[in-house]
Amino acid sequence: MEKAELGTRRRDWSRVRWAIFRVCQRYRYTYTEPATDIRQRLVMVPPATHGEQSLLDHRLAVAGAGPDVERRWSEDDFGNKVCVVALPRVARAVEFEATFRVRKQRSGQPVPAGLGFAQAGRSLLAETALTAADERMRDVAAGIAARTDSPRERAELAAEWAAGAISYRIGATGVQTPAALALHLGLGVCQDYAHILLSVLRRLGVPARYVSGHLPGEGVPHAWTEAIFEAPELPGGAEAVAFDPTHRRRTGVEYITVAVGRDFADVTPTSGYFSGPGSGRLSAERRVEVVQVAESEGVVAA
Amino acid sequence: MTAVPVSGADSRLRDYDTGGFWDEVFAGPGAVRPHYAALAGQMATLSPEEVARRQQAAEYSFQSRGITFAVNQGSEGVEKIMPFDLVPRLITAHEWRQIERGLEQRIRALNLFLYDVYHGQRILAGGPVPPELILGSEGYRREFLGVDVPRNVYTHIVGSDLVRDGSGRFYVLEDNLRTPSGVSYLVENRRVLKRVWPQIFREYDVRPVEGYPQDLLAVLRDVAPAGVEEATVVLLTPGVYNSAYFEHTFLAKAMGIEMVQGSDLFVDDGSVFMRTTHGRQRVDVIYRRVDDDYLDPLAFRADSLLGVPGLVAAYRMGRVSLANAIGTGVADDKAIYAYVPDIIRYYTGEDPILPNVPTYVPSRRQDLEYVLEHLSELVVKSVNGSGGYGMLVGPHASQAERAAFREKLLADPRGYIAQPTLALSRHPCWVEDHFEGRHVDLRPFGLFGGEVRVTPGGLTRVALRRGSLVVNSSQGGGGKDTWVLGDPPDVSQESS
Repeated sequence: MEKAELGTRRRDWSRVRWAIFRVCQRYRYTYTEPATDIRQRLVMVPPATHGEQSLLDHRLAVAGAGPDVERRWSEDDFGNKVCVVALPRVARAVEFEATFRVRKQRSGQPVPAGLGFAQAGRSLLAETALTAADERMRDVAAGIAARTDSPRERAELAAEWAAGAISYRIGATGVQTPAALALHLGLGVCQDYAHILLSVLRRLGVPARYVSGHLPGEGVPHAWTEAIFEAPELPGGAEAVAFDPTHRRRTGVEYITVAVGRDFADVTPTSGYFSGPGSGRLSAERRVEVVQVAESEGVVAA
Repeated sequence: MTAVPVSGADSRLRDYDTGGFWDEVFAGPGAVRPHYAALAGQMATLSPEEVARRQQAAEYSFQSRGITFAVNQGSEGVEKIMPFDLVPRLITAHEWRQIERGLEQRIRALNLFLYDVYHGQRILAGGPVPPELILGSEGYRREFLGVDVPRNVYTHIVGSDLVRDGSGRFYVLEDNLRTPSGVSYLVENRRVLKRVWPQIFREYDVRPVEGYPQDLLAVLRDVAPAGVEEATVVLLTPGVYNSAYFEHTFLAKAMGIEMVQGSDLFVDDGSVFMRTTHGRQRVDVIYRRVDDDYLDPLAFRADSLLGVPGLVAAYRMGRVSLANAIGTGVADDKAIYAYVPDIIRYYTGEDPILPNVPTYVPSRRQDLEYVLEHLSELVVKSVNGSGGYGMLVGPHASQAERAAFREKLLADPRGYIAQPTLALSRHPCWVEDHFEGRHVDLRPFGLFGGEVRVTPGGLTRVALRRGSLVVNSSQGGGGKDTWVLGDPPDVSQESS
């Protein structure tokens, strides 16, 4: 009860130097008939470190499948933590519950991107089908490019534009809606804001990635965008700056990253298959708690 | 994944221009992807004369085996060999696992969908697909409501088309669930490459594809009507004028079954028989390469001369099995394709392993508006078309062509879908005396008789005209042998 209050209380995150969050996320599959040879690929736990976020501990519990559960952890091409769970048989329902704690701090210093700048150029500049720019985005990019040569200024302008490009509305778009259509509709959710910004950033020659994660106090997972800049002084030579176009702001200490990719399709939290004559149903649940917070006296510059 | 620099000697590879596309071989100028390193080494040792000589040997081999396809041009059919490119396309074990699992999931979900559409129609009551799209689909066969098919298998043979975008990710571009063709090239390309360039196989652990006809036969036998042992299986071809006639003869021969035309079969007392020199013989399973519309003049098109009168009645009574089943077209209607990821979630509760290409469905008004405003950027396809006919590639189309499509879209929004023009991946191909990048796709084949089996390989189709994005053989596309590589010795490394 006390923790729940702590999590939902309105808080001025700009005053927070560091915080510890506990996230609990649950997926439940219910099958109409017994299923065998189930494999689930889960991307529910953040990597050991991502920028200023570090993973303190994590647990992935599987309930409803008996003792023969095989978990295989690996890392995908983007550094995300992937767990492939193999289950020989499920009679009715199986539940995957990931619980993790992360410590997030904000030093005010540049944040290393976790990959080299050249590598970012190779993997995070190409258009994907969901983020393919249409004429309007190309025009917007050209307009921004004409105003400044600086990648950082370009990214600021692009984020500012993306924040006003559509209005937030649930239900107008779906998980497969391309950025171009969301822009045309003028409507969308965080995923669409993130895709639109990705599209324009890449068009401007700024490598950028899609981030999926959580915000305390929000009922659904959140998504935002990281732009990658050359920064020779940092390890790896690249800096990541995260923009949240849905809220028209830079991300803060309360943003919990779970996974990154080229677009939404790279960070799908669950995917898998099973054998059996029946069909399955998926339901999800999540909870983000703030465990501990350290506030500073003054406001740390963003 | 680290790339390997091209050995200094070969300028043909060093000068290769990736053109800013995702290249299957090159990670960047002069940098070869690791699994292609041995192949690039071999390519570098071949002189242009040598390549040309092997290329020619391959062409002769196709020609002498009669591996041709017919192109519809007015009333005259023209026979052609499919141009073959010597350099094989390689797929790593890691990439293949995703493709294999993704197709397995997709095929299973599509069969659950087809079962539902022809039985309880649960999906019509608040499901993710607008009911009018299903009920109004040309491929929907109302007459088959409530008809059971053996093992609830509808799509015994699936040939989905996959493409990669500019970032290298695989997408399903379309599902071919009616009578997919091309598998004979998959097997023959391997045979020919082994003959004309045997050295290169020593360098790689390539998974075999030669088992496809026997796997297909096993599936066909498995779906025989209940109670039939030692099923008699035949292949029903529309005849020599069909563009895939070679493939029909190839598969019938490889499976050791009879190839028949409609006039070779007849229905008597509810069962199907074939005429043989020893009298009539009962037929249990028909691998039909004839479209639904032409199967039975009593049930569908009365003017069809390709079909067998009474066949559909025999099928409804469960006396004969058809592969693929009748009515699968509703699931490969391109407007319904747009909803396949939702269909996967709806029936299996899983997220799709292989993504769809984002698709605009103009029967939704917002999509129609978008498509009309962006015709010059989109690819527009007819929902029931195949073979690259009746499509508009916006960026390559003339003003007049676009105007014509605008009229078509306004007149019949349900009849079309549109997709962004993807920057399809490219693969080096031998062009005259050097290597040039050409856009490619991949058509793997999945067999389903209760369990899904995806043949480890596929038909890599090449858009041979420079810059072209259309890979269909009827539109001047060529083919490549496609190698799925075995697991590297260090299997513990899931990702690279």
